[in-house]
Amino acid sequence: MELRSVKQGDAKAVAAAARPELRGGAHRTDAALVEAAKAGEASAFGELYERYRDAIYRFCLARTGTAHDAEDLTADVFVKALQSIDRYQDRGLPFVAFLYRIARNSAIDRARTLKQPLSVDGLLNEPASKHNVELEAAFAVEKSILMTALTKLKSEHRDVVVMRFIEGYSALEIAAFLGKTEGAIRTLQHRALERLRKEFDGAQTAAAKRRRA
Amino acid sequence: MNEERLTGLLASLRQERMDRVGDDRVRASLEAAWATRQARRGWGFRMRRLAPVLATLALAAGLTGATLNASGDSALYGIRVAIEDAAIVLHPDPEDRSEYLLALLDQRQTEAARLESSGNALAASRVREIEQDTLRRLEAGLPKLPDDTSVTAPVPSDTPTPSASPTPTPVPAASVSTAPRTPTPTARPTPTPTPTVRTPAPTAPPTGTSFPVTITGTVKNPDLTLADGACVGTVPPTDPAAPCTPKTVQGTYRFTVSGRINQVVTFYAWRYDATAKIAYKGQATATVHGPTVQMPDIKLQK
Repeated sequence: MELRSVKQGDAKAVAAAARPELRGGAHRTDAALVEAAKAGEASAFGELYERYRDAIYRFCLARTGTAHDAEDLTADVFVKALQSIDRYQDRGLPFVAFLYRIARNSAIDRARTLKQPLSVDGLLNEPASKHNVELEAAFAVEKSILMTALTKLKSEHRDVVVMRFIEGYSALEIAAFLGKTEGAIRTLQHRALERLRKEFDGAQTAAAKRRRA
Repeated sequence: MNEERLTGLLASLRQERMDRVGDDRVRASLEAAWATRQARRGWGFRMRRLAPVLATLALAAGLTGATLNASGDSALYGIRVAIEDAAIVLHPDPEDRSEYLLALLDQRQTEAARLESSGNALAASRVREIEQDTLRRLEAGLPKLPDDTSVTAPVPSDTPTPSASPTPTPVPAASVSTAPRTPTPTARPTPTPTPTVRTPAPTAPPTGTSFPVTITGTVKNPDLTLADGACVGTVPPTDPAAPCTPKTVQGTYRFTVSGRINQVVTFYAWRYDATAKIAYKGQATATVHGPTVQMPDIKLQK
């Protein structure tokens, strides 16, 4: 079934179509884990953390640009999720949508507080593998430049890029997460990629200039 | 850079994982947050869960209290009456039920009187109707007194006496009516030869509607000690040796029956001595003048 647009009201349909691992895998569902956590079962929240830790970390990494800041932001996200889990209501969306919302808001708050520009040089100091050092180094450089470019995107562009191309969600799922239509997500995705390419090219040129200098 | 290369590079970021040190830091934060949450939840959470239950209980208790104390002019009085009437079934024992209905009747009479005195005629009439209904219920459950007037009423005397005249003088009537209630015949050394003393002729026939009457009395043995466990009834025993109920307790008995004003009541008491094979019997008679009747002592004799 091809859905042209999805609004928040269609969230259940989206959740039903979502990949099993996003809905809780073969074990307990997200909803069951949330209920257990609400009832005071610490291991249930631990399982939710295990399930979505890396996705949120990557989302935060795309926002902050550094591993350390991404870890801090990830910690913030899960602590806030824990504090507000009693108010969480299952609207048919995966629990990760709730976490993404917290992450977005936390990242905005954090950016307001810190106001620190991302240091590309810092990103370039990532340790490289001993094998294929040149290839690894080139990849690490490209990755760092990409992270820099990502941090320069508009918030909603970055969210769409991360969810679509890093996390692999469909436009339909992202539409449900962000409360937009599928068409709007496709438009955002197109513009975001366009913008990212420009930022990436610009950052690559600047890095090359710095290396030459 | 083309789009394919860019998306491929983006996809490579999917391999990014939080390192062990960062994971441990996040877990430590979460453990601290969890402990704080649990501590906060303790009292507040329980109260939040209990609050609706407590509120419901308080509301129910308040409503019940208000209903069960509703006065006759209150909108809740009908509910109160319905609850009180429904509680009748909680008294399966006839004696117990009569007691309960008597208490209800008394309380409803009081309420009606209060409303009448306060000038609320509408509410008073409603309560009176309820009271009458209670009375009917009570009487339906009460044993009817045998109409003893035919038994104890004077048979036509062989010796015509002035009292047989259609216009009896008030003086003998007064003396006659008090005579059975105050049995002091020994006071007169020379009893008058006329048999008018025994005849309660002026006693009026039972009149008015029947109402609950509580009758109490005492049964004594021939040696004038209290006869415990003696049988008591409104009809003479056919077989004194047969088992019976009710029986006296420490020589006393108490009945609630349906009676009328001026109704003559006769109670019979008997006790069978199985070892000596002797039946002791006695009886007492009284007239109903109000809701309570104190019977003369019944003295058992062979």
